[in-house]
Amino acid sequence: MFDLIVVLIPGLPLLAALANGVNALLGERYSRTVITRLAWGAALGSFLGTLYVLVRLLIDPTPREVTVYRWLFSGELNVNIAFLIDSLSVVMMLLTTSITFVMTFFSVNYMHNERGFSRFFTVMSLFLFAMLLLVMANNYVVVFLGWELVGMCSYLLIAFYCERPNAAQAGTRAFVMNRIGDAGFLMAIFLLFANFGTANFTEVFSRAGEIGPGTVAAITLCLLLAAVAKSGQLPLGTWLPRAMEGPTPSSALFYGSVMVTAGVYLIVRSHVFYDRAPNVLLLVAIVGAATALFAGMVSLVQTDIKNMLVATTNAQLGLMFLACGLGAYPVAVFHLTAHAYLKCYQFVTAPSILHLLHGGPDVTKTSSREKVSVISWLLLAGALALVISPFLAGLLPASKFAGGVIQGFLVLIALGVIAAFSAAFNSARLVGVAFAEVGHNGHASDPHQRSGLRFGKPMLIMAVIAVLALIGIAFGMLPGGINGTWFQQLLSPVVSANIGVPAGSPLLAIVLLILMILLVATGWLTPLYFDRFRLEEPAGSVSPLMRRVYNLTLNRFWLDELYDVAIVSPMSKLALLLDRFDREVLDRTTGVPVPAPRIRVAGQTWQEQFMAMQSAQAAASAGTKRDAAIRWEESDERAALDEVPSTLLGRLAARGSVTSNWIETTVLRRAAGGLAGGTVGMISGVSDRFEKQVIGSTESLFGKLMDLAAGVSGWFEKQVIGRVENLFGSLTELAAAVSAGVENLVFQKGVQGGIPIAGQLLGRVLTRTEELLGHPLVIGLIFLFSIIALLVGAL
Amino acid sequence: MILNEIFASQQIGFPILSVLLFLPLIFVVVLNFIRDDHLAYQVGLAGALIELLLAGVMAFVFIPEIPDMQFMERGFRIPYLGVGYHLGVDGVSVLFVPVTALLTVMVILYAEYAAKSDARHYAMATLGLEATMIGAFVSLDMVLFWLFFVLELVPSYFLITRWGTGAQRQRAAREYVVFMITGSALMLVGIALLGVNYHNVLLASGQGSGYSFDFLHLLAVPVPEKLQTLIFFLIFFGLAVKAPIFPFHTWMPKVLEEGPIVGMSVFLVGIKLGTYGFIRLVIPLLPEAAKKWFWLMALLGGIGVVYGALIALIQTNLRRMVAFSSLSHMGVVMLGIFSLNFYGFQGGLLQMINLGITGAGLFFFAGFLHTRVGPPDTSSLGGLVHNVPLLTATFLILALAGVGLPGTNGFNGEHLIMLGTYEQHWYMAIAASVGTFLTAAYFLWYFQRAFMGSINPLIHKMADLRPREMFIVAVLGGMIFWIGLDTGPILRRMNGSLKALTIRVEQGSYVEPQTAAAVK
Repeated sequence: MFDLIVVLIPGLPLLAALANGVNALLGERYSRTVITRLAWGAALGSFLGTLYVLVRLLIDPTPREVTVYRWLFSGELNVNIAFLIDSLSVVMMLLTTSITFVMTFFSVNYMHNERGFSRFFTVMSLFLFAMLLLVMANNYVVVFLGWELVGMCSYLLIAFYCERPNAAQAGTRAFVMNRIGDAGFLMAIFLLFANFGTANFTEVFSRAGEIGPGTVAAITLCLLLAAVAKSGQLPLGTWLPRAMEGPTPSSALFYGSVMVTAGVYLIVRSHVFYDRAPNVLLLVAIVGAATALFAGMVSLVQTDIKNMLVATTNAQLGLMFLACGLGAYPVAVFHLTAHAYLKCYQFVTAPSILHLLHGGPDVTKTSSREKVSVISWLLLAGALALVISPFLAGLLPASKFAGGVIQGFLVLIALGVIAAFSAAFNSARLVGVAFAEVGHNGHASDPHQRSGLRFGKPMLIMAVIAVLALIGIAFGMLPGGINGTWFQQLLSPVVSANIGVPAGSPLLAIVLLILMILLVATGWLTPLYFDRFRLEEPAGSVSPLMRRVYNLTLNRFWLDELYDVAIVSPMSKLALLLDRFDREVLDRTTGVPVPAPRIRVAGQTWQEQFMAMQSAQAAASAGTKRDAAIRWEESDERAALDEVPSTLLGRLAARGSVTSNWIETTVLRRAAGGLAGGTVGMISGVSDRFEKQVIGSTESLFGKLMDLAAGVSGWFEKQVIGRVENLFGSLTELAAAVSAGVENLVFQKGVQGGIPIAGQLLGRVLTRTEELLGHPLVIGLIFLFSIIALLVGAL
Repeated sequence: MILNEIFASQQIGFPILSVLLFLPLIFVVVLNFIRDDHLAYQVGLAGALIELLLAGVMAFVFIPEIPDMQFMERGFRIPYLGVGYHLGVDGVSVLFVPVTALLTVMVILYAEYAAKSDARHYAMATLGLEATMIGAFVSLDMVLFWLFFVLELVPSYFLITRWGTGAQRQRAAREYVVFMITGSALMLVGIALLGVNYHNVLLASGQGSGYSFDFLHLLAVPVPEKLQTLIFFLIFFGLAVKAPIFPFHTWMPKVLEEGPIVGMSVFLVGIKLGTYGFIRLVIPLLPEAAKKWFWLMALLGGIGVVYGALIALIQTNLRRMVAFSSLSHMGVVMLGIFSLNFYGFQGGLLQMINLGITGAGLFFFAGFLHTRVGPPDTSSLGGLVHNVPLLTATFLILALAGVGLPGTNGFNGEHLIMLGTYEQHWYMAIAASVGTFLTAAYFLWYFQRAFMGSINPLIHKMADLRPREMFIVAVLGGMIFWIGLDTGPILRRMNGSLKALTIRVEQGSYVEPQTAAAVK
């Protein structure tokens, strides 16, 4: 029963995703009600299942494993799809299923006018499945499976409005950025396999002491890379603001609350390793602090609600990383939970307000405070909860002075202060900006505005959200994940807090300390001073330094642009370079010589002449099929003629062929008529061309010889006409047939049929032969000899 | 290393490998006498289906987890040359036969779109190509292997020149043939040297004389180390050109861009005869040389991974992109094979099978696009998502399998390769990691440009998957997820032989000096 339910928890969303996916692909066969019911029904089922699991776990807190399927196995390598049900995974499961359920339900209304309705719900269900796989897995490989699927869903939803180029690009960027982290994840998995022969949580964690500190550091670093990419931390976080291109419910689910926490989860889950690598733990803290600092500042100056929200999310995630880095894992999980609900709530209310106000997403442009006080209060409540939760979490250990905890205490105070100020300022600003400051320039006569909160369903959803907010507040008010509190007790079988600056390299510790001091400083100062330095304010009223800082933060420290300049553009340049290298250098050195270039005047090269003659001959004798083949060959040759010689050999050949070109163009025109034309002439009468040549060159030796030959043969024919005619005729016919056959074989089959080099050689040989044959003397001698031979044979 | 032999008569009762080899040829002859194009297509399809069925039966009856040569047949033998008709399959080769048969079925199924004018000859050439490829996979005599390796050029050449789509197809075909002929000539010298060495060993040990090119005979004699290096590189050239491996790949983009829209190209991308040669021929016969030069092979593979992926990144034509993507994937396979350990072999071999599905699938996909819009260039595409959801989903599945998303076949292969690579040389694993990230980049960037964005006016009336295409996609998709989720049956068929190969590499070729007598 327990096992079955555990399997059904991710199984239901998967089934829903399959059903909706098929529907989406085959053109929306069933109604939207069915689609949405499938989606939220599956999420609800998972949620209820998780509740059951939670109850079972509260009764008996021992972790249990459920093996579902033997997936990949070979030799000693064994990867099963297995779930580990302990308090950490159940907390994450509850978070995932409940928020996804609410968001799916909310989307029914939100998405009702959008294209790709069933596509959206397919991805939502698939996401739930993948996220559950991620948090339930008992194996790094299965976590990776979920990790990648989540990334894919995120890709599909960021690029949901894919007709917008920005959305499409943002999707690609997000996926590729995440892929960097994934490479780290994979390396971590291989390190685990190489050292333990398995990637199973239970085994790996229990044998963590077996490996050296260097290996542990490598594993944790790789995992950190993955977590950094997934949770949008510096320096890989630039995809996160761009990810706001997707529909708002998915933004809330993926980037506001659930998906981005996967990185924190991964670190908390791997805390056994991190505890053994103090330097990496320090690095985690530094990354977190830096991100919190960065995103906190960025969030202060954003003017777009969604951007502002995602920046605060980013900052809060940084704080979670910081908490992890300081060993306060349960605090991080607690912060994660509380923050997820609150951010989800904020995300959902923000666009509702915008919808209501009928403005764009720019908070400085939205207007009117009429009749929105309910929402205003909801938003304020959310903001308050957000302010309070980490603050409280931070204050509590103050009462628990123990050896070495003093540092942790300070740290958490700092955390609280920062979170409080930056978040409070932000939320207050959101509320204030949206409803108060610019309210006077609104369009009060807009009927939509006056209708205010009339429509029912959004209000219902808002009520749900308000309840969620209350849960969040409750969580926030309740003691956090510090030792001794109930949350910590729940998590204690998995992870416990051991707060303090990790005993790593002093240099890193100093960096961390500086960052935290900066964090505290900005936490205090920026809300007071920062917002004033807006760009619109007249020059001189603001110190240029602050204006610069403002600019810097407004543009997210130019990180994205930096990547563009420093990585993306050099990489595409490199790719272009390599492409040229491939085409030009490699091709020239290893490529095959192209036929030597000829002067491209129709009918001037021997090949063309030959083709033309052959096609005439073929048309006369063989029929159309061969003709077509020749013309086809010819067109190819022409295409080849257009080519500049691109290989070394080709160039050499080009040099050499300048002379042969001359010979060919001047001499061979006649020569082509010479032998082949002669043959044709003997078979089917004398060709025009041949005649012309004969007549034209009567003054030459050739002509004379020809005359002589003609005379002799004429005489001969006259004399022995009766006797030899038959023999002669059949001989020439035979010769013609043979030569035709040879031609057919060599040129048709040879050139087309598989031995192009041989064909080319043959072509060259023939060229030379023809050159020779071009000499009238040679032709004449040949005629003479053949006639003598005939005479001898006959007599 | 001595491999046991199980004869076909013991296993299945009739010489199934000969049937597999000659059946397509018989159909080629039969097709020659059918004048009606459509009927010829049907008969060709039937032939390919029978072949596939037989290949499936063969793979099914094949006994997994043992290193023995199975379905053995020994026919005539030319005594003085040492060349004989000797067929057999083991874990290394058994899976290539059904993959080849499967691709042939699909290529012929698509014949009436791909070769509108002359489906009959197209089917004949395809079946001929199938016969030569299957011949290369099942022959155990090295000269026979070489013969099929070279004979493959004939139908390939016709496919490229007659049904090629580019204006430069003649040139591409010429280049292809010249490359292959040069490579295989060097390879023949290498194979001949192996035979000569066999002769010398027999003479030296006083067991008479005589040449042999039988794989099993050659396995039994040691090869001097210097000679090994020479032979290794001779054969390497032939295989590197075929695979292709950087920097011998320049023919491939041309052939794939100018060649027929499916036909030849699918086999080029899908059937990895080149890398198969490494794992069949080079590593077992020349283990010392392989151990000596593995780093060079892996380095070329690693360069190929990054190089191919980077160039693929900026391609606008899907066919050219797939060519470089194939180069990149070939690099991954080389990394796997030349980690010279069990996981590496397994991953390499599995990845070769996978490429037969995803790589070939991508080319089928390029063919689908080509029949609709001409060359699948991003300039003639855009915003396909809304018009043709099935085509879009097809590309996405193929691309994600190529990227190696867990759950698809690509993941399992790459995973094993990386594992093997990591154990042998971890820095190469980093190259492969960079490759995985670049792979995602070029696939998704192409997806972004071709499928997203605003709808290109050229494609307003584009048809979604047609029934035959749907069938092809369903089969390919099924294979992708089947191998991705249930790799066991496939790995078990490989394991026996690969374990033997691992031991062979560890022990080297000198351990059994006395066995030449046993072979005689």
